[in-house]
This record gives sequence, C-alpha cells and structure tokens, in this order.
Amino acid sequence: MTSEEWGHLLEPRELPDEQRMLRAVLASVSAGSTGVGSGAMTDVLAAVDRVLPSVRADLERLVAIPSISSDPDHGGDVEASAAYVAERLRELGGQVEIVAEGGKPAVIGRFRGPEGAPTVTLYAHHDVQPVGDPAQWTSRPFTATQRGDRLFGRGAADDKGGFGVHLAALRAFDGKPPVHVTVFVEGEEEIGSPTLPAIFERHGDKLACDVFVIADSGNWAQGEPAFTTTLRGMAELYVEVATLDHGLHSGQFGGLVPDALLVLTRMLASLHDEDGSVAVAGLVAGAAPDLDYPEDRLRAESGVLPGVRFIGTGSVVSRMWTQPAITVIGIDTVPVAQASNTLIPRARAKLSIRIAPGDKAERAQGLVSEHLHRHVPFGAQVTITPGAGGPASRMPLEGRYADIARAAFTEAWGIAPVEMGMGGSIPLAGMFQQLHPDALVVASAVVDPDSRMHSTDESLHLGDFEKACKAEALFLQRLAGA
Amino acid sequence: MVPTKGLAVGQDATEGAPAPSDRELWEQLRAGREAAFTTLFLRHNKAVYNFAFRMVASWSQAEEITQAAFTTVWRRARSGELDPLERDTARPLLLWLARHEALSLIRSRQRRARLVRKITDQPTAGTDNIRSWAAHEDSMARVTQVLSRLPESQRAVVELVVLGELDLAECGQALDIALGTVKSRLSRARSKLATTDVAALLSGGDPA
Repeated sequence: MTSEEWGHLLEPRELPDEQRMLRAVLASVSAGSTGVGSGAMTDVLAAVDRVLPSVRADLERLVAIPSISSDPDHGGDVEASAAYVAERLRELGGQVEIVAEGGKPAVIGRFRGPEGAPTVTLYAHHDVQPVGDPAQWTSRPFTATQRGDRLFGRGAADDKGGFGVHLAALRAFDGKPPVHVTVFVEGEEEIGSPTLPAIFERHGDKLACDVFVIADSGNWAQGEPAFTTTLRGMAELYVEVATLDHGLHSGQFGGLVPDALLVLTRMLASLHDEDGSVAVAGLVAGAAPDLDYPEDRLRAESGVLPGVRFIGTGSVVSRMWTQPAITVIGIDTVPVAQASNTLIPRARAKLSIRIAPGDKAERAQGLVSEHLHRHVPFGAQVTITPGAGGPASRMPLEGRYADIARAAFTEAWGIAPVEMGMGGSIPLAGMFQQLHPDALVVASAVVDPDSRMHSTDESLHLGDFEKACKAEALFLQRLAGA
Repeated sequence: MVPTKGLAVGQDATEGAPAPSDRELWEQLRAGREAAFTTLFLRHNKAVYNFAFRMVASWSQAEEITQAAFTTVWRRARSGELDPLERDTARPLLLWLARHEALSLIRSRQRRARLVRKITDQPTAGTDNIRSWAAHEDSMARVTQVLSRLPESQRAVVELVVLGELDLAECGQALDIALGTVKSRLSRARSKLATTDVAALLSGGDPA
C-alpha cells in the first residue's frame, strides 16, 4: 500500500451515536452492565449486587410456572419452564438448545470464554415436586412471596433457586464469563431423571468440562455453606415368603403351621441389632467428617416424636452419610380391614438399602440377600429379588480447582464451607462422573435445613441466595486466572 | 506521508470561556461529577473509538470497547477509585484502557486469529473502495495481522503511536516507560517490519 492509501485507512470516523453511548455509560454504573473484557470487570461482587434484583424477578416468574414433572397434567408447564430458562440464557448471548430424549426437556446453554480458559458446566433442574394440599401452604405455592428473610414458593429453593445462582453469575459477567461455561438445566430430576442416560448419550459431549457445579445439594446451616463430597447410594430388594399354598383356618392349624408373616417379621428383625445398627456383615461403612450434629437440631430437623430414640452407633453424621442403612419401606399382606381368622400363606416386603460411599448396589443386595437366607426360620420358602440400584459417590475436593472453590466460597460467605455427606443420592453425580471422570464435581447449594424442600412452605433464604450467587461468580472469575 | 492528524482534541460547546483542561475536569470527575465526565467523553470518544477500530479492525467492536473503556472510568469515579491524572491530557490513559479492553476482547473471542486467517486466505481487496466500511475493516485486519508479529513491548508502542497517534512522550507516560525506550522500541519495530507493506505506515509516525 502507498502512503496515500494508509492515509485513507487512518481517516477517523465519528461514533454512530455519541449521545446514546454516553447515556449507556452513565446508566451502566447504576444499572449493572459491565461492558466487555476483563478490564471493566474489576469488581465481580459489585456486579452480582447490581444484577440480583433482575435475577430475583426472573426467579419469581419461574416459580410461577408449576413445572411438576411427576404430574402428566403439568407437561406443558415443564416445557414452559424449560423455554423460560432457555430464553434467559439466549438473551445473555448463549448458544442455547432445548433437548429431550423421550422425557422432559432439558436446556443446554453454552457461553464461550477466552481461549485456553477452563470449562465449567453448571447444573440445576427446572422441574419441581408436587405441592400437596395448597391449603397447607401459608401463601400460594406458585406465587413467590417474601416473609422475613425468606422467599416462599415451590421450587424457590429446589432448584429454581439453583438456576438463579447460575443466572446471576452469568449476568454479572454480562454473558461474557471469563471461563467457558455450559449451563445444563434438566426437567425431570424430581422423578429420578429417567431419560438422563439417553440425554448424556446424545449430548454428553457438550457437557464436557474441567469443573462440574451441581447447585442442587444442601448447605450445612443457614449462613454456612457446604460442599457435598459423599453421597450414599441406594439398592432395593424384594423379599417374598411362602409357607402354604392356600390360607388355613387359624383355629384349626394355628400353633402348628407357621404363617408367612411370622417368618417374614423374624427375618426382617434379623437385619438390625438391639441398638438398631445394621446387623448384616460385610457392608461397607466409612469414616465421616468430624462434625458435631447436636441432638436437638437433629430432633428439630427430623421431627421425630418425643421419646423416640435414635438408632445406630457412631457419630450422627456417620450414621447419616457413611454407614449403611436398611429400611423396610413396604409390606404386602392382608390389610387389617380384611383380616379373618386365617393363617396367611404368603407375604412380601420391599427393602431400601442405603449404601455407603465405596460400596456397590449389587454387592449390597447380595450380602443382604445371603443374610436373610441364613435367617429363614422353620424352613419356609423364600424368594429374594433385587430391585433398582444406584451407586454411592465420592466427590473428593482435591486439586487446584478445588482450592479455588474453597477460597471463593469462603470469601463470599464469610465462613469456610463445610465438607459434608448426603444421606440421599443424586443419581446425576455418579452418572456424570462416569461420563467425564476427570471433571472436578463441586456440589454446592442454596437449600438450608429450614428450606423444607419437597414439603409445604418451601423457601429460599435470600441472604444465603445472595452469597451463593457471589460465591459462584467469584469462583468463575478466579478459575479464569488458574 | 504523515497520516492526517484526525484525532485532535475536540471542541467544547462553551466557546467563550477557555475550556477547562483535562486535568481540571479529571479532578471534578474524581468527585463523581457527571458534567465533567460528559465533557471528557465528548472530547475524547472519537480518539478512543478510532484507536479501538485500528486495534480490532471492527467498527462494531470498536464501539463496544469505547463504551467499556469509558464505563471503567465512570465506575471508578463513582466508587471513589479513580486515580489522579498525572498528565495534562487524559488521552494516553484512555487509549491505554481501550487497548486493555481491546486485548481482552481479542483474547476472549479469538477473533483475531480467525479473522486473520480468513483475510489472508482471500484475495486482497482493492483499494478503490477503501472508504466502504467492510473494505476498511479488511484492510485494517491486514495491518493488525502484520503488527501481531511484533513482540508485545514493541507492539504496544507502535499501536499507541501509529494507531493511537499519541506523541512519543505521551506514549511513554501511558506505558510508564522512558522516552528513550519508546524511541528504541519504535525503531526496532520499524526495522523488523521494513520489508512488509505496512512499512510506509510506520514511517509516517513521529520522526525517530
């Protein structure tokens, strides 16, 4: 090029609309837009403060959609909540799709970060539990209502609040996060994620990441964050007992012929020691974090009736998180209303076995089954059939990214997060670990012990919500420098 | 040929009284005064906008960068975190901020690499229509591609002096380096790019 051509190239131009930009800049400081690039993103916490009102408004609108996944009548609502989530991500500039593999729709939104930055996948779910009798709620379940520090409504905490955290973090970065972010919001968590394996098979590659954040666990207490690092697994077992092929008159043969319930109850009684500990040998029991769970708190949270003692041995948290538990969750027999003077020929029970981290469902089913067979009295005929099973999970918080997570959460909450277990399982966690074994799983939460998730008057603590939003935004920012 | 010095300080609306200096306005801005910010914005947005364009070869991204740079200044002013201005003009600082935003944008969107690849694979656009916006962007992208061969220390000097039209002293202030260092880096950059087709552009900068 000649010098003259260079001259043309450097000919200055006017801004297309100088006044409009001036207004935008002046408005941005109060309204919350943070501009582009990291240079303008000097204070991520202030940015979260600015976007929180808009996120709260979106959370309330999302709560208003009764996306109950277990109720076929609400299928349209689950689709509407997926669409609402997708639209919020799309307007932030994400590349968004709604996917379904024969079940409820999930939303995948992707935000590209700078080259070479780590990738973070943020999980939540947009479906909710049924509400039971609306009359039992203090305010209408699908009208988000603030009382005191809490926002009440079905899904306000579990887990539309979880999505709210992701939305706040992305909005604080104006849709331009400093790391690659994939948001995955499923629509059937509350019914056990039946088509999640199919979704993973088809779309799992898009969820590949260095860090997988599950905003669907529980915090240790209001104001005290937690990372869930262990989850018990689950294994079901059906036990069927027969002593006769037809009922006999209890007056005639009672005292001589054993009935099926006599056999079944003695077998079930063998599963626990006198103090209520599991008596089955060989089930895995692991060490638990050294945490004090005061008995009054346990009584308040569980609602156990006065005078009822707790069962098992070892620390409270070990009994909830790292020891196995066996519960009889159903028995098929003659209901009392239909009882007659008959020796009951057959009976069936369903067992729910909670397995500790490190154990496997099939192994536990085998051990419990052998134990029961060894405790069959009177030579009765017993058939034991395994039911569904889900693995226990360990999600160790180790390595560089875990250190960053701890530091970011400590800073945002003002207190170090507790590393805790969960007695229940999140099938997603185990499935995701199989899909992307190298990703660090960070199970965080907006739910606290007073949130009453799945129950009436579910609520989100708004102070905790703000801290959760700040923690996640800060985490993403710090990961950018890692 | 010396490129037209088109980025001169803009005119203030108040013609009668002597216009307040950047330094005076900056002090008012540090107290959170919106009027001072408005005057500074109107005075310098064109320089920032055109410099940003020359950095990223995209007029639309240049707008974003301009907005982000001024937003940074305004937010710092409002939160009491704006440092005093150490020089008579705010332009070196504003261009430095714009350059920072431009580099973040380039990194974050990986645009530069893709754009450069696209451009070099295409036949060179004729210069007849260089006044059209798209052709202008293509030509500018060729310049940024060539400049990207320079090490960062030299590139920063070339960008601020040649593309940002700062004088050597202002460039030294913006980068917090000595005048002699500015000169030597510029001179090394010139010899490194002497055989490229942007050589003429470089020679048009400040006399070494």
